[in-house]
Amino acid sequence: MLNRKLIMYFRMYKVVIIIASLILLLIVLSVVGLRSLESFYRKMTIATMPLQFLMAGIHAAIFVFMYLVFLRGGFAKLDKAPIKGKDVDIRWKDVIGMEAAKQEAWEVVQLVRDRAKLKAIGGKVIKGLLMIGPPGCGKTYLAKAIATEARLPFISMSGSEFVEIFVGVGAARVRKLFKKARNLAFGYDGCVLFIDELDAIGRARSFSFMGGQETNSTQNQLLAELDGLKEKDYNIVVIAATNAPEETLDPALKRPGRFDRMIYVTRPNLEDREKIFKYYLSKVNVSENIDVSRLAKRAVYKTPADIANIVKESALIATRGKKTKIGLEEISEAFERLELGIKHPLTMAAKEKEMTAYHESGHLMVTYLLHPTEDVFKASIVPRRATLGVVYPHPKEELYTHSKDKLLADVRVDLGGYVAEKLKAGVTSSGVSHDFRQAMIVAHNMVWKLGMGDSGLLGDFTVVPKEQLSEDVKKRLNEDTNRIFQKCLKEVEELLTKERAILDRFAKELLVKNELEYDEIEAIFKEYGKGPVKNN
Amino acid sequence: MIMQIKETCRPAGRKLLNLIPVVISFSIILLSTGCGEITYPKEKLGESLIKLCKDEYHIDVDASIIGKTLAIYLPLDNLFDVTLNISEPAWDKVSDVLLNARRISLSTDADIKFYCVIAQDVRLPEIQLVIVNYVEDAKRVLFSDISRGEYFKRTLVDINENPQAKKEQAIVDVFGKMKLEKEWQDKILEDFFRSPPSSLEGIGYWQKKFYIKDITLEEFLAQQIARRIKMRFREEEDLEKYALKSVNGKFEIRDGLKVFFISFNAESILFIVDPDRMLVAEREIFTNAFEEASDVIYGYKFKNFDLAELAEKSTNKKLLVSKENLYLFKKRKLGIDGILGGIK
Repeated sequence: MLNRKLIMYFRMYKVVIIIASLILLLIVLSVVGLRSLESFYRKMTIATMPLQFLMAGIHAAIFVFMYLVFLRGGFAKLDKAPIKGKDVDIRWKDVIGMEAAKQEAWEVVQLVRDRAKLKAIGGKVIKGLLMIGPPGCGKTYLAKAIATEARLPFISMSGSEFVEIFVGVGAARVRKLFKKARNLAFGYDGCVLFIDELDAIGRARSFSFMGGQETNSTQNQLLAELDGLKEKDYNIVVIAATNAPEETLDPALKRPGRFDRMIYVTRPNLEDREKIFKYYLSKVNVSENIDVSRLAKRAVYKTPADIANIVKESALIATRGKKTKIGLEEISEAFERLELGIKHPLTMAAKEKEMTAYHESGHLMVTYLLHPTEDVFKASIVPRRATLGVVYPHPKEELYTHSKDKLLADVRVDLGGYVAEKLKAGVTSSGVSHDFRQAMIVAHNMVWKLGMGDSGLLGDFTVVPKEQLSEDVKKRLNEDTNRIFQKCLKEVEELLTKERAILDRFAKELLVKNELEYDEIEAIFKEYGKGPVKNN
Repeated sequence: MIMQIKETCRPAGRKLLNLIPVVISFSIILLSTGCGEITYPKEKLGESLIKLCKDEYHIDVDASIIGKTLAIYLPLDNLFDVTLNISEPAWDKVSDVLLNARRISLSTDADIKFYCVIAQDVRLPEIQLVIVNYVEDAKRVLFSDISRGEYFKRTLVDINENPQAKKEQAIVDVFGKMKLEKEWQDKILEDFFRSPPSSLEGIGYWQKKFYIKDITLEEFLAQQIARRIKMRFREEEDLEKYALKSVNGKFEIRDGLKVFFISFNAESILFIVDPDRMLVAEREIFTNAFEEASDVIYGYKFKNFDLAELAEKSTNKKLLVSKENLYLFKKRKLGIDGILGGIK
């Protein structure tokens, strides 16, 4: 093993070793040469040496400057220091949630560890592992955990680091990276190579002459190196991660023998979110009365990174509020900051503020009274980001498909602001533009893509080029879209006209308090004997 | 752009910091070699020179040291060719010995200021070639502080009649007329006429004996001024209209004053009767002679003198320039007219 390590070090640092030996030889020769000189010439040489060093330094500096300016620091330079598996120090138990992904990854760890056993049976070791999923779901974390558990050196590189404007540089970097990995695998009997953001080089190749040659050549080199691993028996596991959709990746990457195994790292479910909350909250000082399961329910569609950020943000809020423990209030504020953004002061005219209050009240009432899958978490007329006000809906549960009722309710909610403004002032403002846009997109998709129009036309008409659609079909589809729009508008108008007293009340409350929390909203509705629509 | 360079350089800078111990160690190793022994210790300086010439160039020489002057005698079979010019092989050997003299003078702990090579043709020892070099000039040319041309101008080269031989010949002639026995002639010569010379012109080697003196910088500079005036009048086209018949340089102490005394005999080759033209010619001769003298003195930053006296023998005119005026002239604070005003 020691010999193998020595050979590995020589292979890895042979240029350095050769240069160091040459320098040593030159030093010895210099000393011998100086000793053989007559004393005056020896002193003269030594006396002029500082000047020579200085001149050499100036020349070197000029050279380096020119090199940096004109050649940008060496195209194929790859200064990736390998990290030993134990130094990564992310244990399996630290990876919370994503049980399915973990289970798949654990198999890989076992295969890497028991490589000899697998080879004895005649099985092939997995060489490539592709992790796909939204950002912040723990792909990198999982890769680090694999490296730690496999106890192998870990080289991490981002796909974007391969990308250069010059053709061939990316490919050269891929070659260097794999050469380094092979050396480490030789010395340590294995190596984990992690390529993050694979989509930077793994997009489906284009075969036109209009560019993309560099990405193509980088990817080709990656494919060739992955095949090379198979041909020679190196114990290198290449783990790649991407948050791009699977279809955007080049099919050649996904074929067996390259990235053999795909792990889908998705957003955590309720149970996982609870575990993640528990994990991060265990690292901070938190009040005993916090109900983690409630937080998990509230964090629907949140990724582990979002949850970590919520806990971090709440700790900052608690510190700013001179509190020693994080309470529900701080966590709630952290949620708001993450989802709604930070409040920023904006002086609004009384009339404009009143219109905003009515607009948001319209959204609020329609969401609460007509939306089957969403609750109103908060309503506010405090400006945030680019909005003057907001009604913050919150999904009651995780849904992976959308029903017609839900989509119609979305259109109604979007139109709620418009109707409320019209009821109050008789005219409407430009504040409805975004709502209309959203409503139109939903209605259009319902008819054109999902076959939810009244005319009975079925199919996804967006895949058919518009010039191939008859005018009659297009007319019917557009009439369906308009019908949905008008129907929803009528329903909302009826609702808000009927419940005008509640609308006025909410607008008044918002003008006084600026913000209304869930509990306050619910209390007002109860006051008028109203409850949320049941999910059907 | 600057930020980009900074960002790129930062990791390189950190790596360079790691090299500091290596650079320090390397420097210490190299610098420690400078603490080595002296190559030619003063106790064996003459022997070292003889051995060096013998070992490296197969040349037999003799060497002697007087004070801070190293003298080398180089006997040659063919110093002069048939035209009585110095032969090329002889020049090569003289150059080799000069190089060895320089090496020895530089790499010794003896305080050697001048070295002097006396080359003689063994067939005609009455004629000799004498070359004198200042060790400091040899150093400066090595460090490129002065050019090779300037170094050559600073070297005193003289082919002369062996002064001791000339002196002894005159005495021997007298002894001959007196019919004095050979034994007595030798004894008298040895007791009364074979003493070291008092001036640079007396340097030589005769009858296996060095006749040398400890050369001083003052007399070396005086001789150099004379030699360079001679060279200037010989080489410059503008001065071809003048005939420089003789030039001598001495350093004297007169009435407590230290004086560079340069005497020369320069006349116009044209017959001039017009007093104005005579005056112009006189000014031109003195200007050139003074410029050469001031160049030499200022070139060595020599200040241990009071006056520079330039004397033209044919007109019996003299130019006296004080040290202060000479330096003012070189610093361009005093014009040549201000200097030539001192012609008497």
